[in-house]
Formats: sequence, C-alpha cells, structure tokens
Amino acid sequence: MINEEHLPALQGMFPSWITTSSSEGEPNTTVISQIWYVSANEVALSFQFFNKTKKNISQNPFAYATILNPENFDMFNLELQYARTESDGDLFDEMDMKLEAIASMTGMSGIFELKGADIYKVLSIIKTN
Amino acid sequence: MVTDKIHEVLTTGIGHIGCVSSSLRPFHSDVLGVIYNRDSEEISCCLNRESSEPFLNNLVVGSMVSLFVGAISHEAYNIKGPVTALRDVQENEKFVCDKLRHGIYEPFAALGITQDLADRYWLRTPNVTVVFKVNKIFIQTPGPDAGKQV
Repeated sequence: MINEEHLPALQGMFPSWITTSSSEGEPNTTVISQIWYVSANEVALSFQFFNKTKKNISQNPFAYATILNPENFDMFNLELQYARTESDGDLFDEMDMKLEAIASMTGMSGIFELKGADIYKVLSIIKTN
Repeated sequence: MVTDKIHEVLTTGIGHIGCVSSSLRPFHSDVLGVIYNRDSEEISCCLNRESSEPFLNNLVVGSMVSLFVGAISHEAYNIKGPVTALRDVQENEKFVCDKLRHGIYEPFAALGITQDLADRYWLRTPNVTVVFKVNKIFIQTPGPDAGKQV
C-alpha cells in the first residue's frame, strides 16, 4: 500500500495533519511533526503526551491523516486504524533519537520523552492533488 | 470569544477542518480562506469541493467540526462547533482566499518553498463554504498551555 512514491512524505520534512474522534463523535484536527514509515501496511506516530489525539484513539481507533511530499507537494490522505504501541525496538530507538535531537536543539532535552511508538494499520492511501 | 490575537491567526494562518462520519470515521480537508463573523459568532471556511470530497461526503448541517489553524510562528488554535450552513463561496470570500494565498508566498519563500510548489497546495478553486458556530476554542501553540480551553 505504501510505496516509494509516498516515502518522501514520511520523512518529517513537512508537518502532517491528523483528525481523530472521541467516542461521542467530537472530531479533533491537529498538526503533527511526522508520521513514520513502518512497513508497506503500517505507519507510526510518536506518543509523548496524553494529548487529545491519544485520548481519542484510546476510545475510537480510527484516524485520518494527510502527508505532503516536500519535493513536489503531492498530498496523500491516509485512513488509519490504531494497532498497538511499541516501547522498545529499532523503530522506537530511531524515533527517540530524532525527537531527542530536535529537543536538544530547542533547549528542551529530556522534556519530550518518548513513551511509545503508536503503530497504525493503513486502511487506504489516496493522492489528493 | 475570538480575541484579536486569535482572529489574526484565523485569517492569516494555515487551516485544516475535520469532521466525523456517522460510523465515527474521521475526515478532514484543507481550508483556503477563513472569515469570522463577530455578530453571529460563526466561522466560514472556504474549501475546494473536488479535493474535499471525503470530508464533504461525511458532513451535514449539524455536524461537529474541528478547525485547526496555525501561523508560521507556530501560534495555533483549535476551534470547534456545529455546522450551520453549507453553501457556494461568495465573491467576498474568494477575495479573502486570494489574499491569504498571496500572503503565504513570502513566508513560504523564506522556507525555500517556491511559488510553483506552494500553488500545488494553495491554487485550488474555493467553491464551497462550511459555516460553523464557535462553541469552544483551545490553544494549540506548542508549550505549557497547549490543550487549554480559551
């Protein structure tokens, strides 16, 4: 499902945006720094805080995200379903290192601790422009 | 409820508006221009119908929406409320969209994004307007106040 065409949009060069919903049907749309490539069928989001997105996903596993290729501004909409959270392993370590590097550059080292890598199954991916 | 500071971000920032289907599947679309009506406390969001199809297919009058709007400075807000109207874009709203698009080119250029690239996002015809009532506003600027209701 995810192929080479999509990979530049999953490098974190440009923010992504994501919408989730509470179990009562209240949407929450926000911007996140990066959606990470996991496999052809999975992506990951960093879990650093128990924010509204995380709260919603604990109630309703579906999410909708948009990623943007910084080279040509191709945009893709992804329908996602939360699968699991990983708190160790290669992906977790890669996310942790990158987030720590960003934090140290902004003088916030140790504040944005990575609690987990939230893995989502990609249900669909569609180019929008 | 919408202060001058919030209004500035609303009308000069980059926006995305989300909704939820009857089966609790979320969707969103990109906002090409925003107008706030102080008298009715309603926000009008101009969208491109063709690229907003999944969002519009799941939106009706009465749907709850969430509008994220953020400035290049990272100041950002999330505004929520029920949809009160879905209609064609009016002439004054097209002007607002053009003004926002032209205002975006300069900060994008400072980030190394050419106008040709920016136009792949911004040069879409605004042809449908979603109007919603402002019920709740949340701070989304990264920092200690993120998530707090205004």
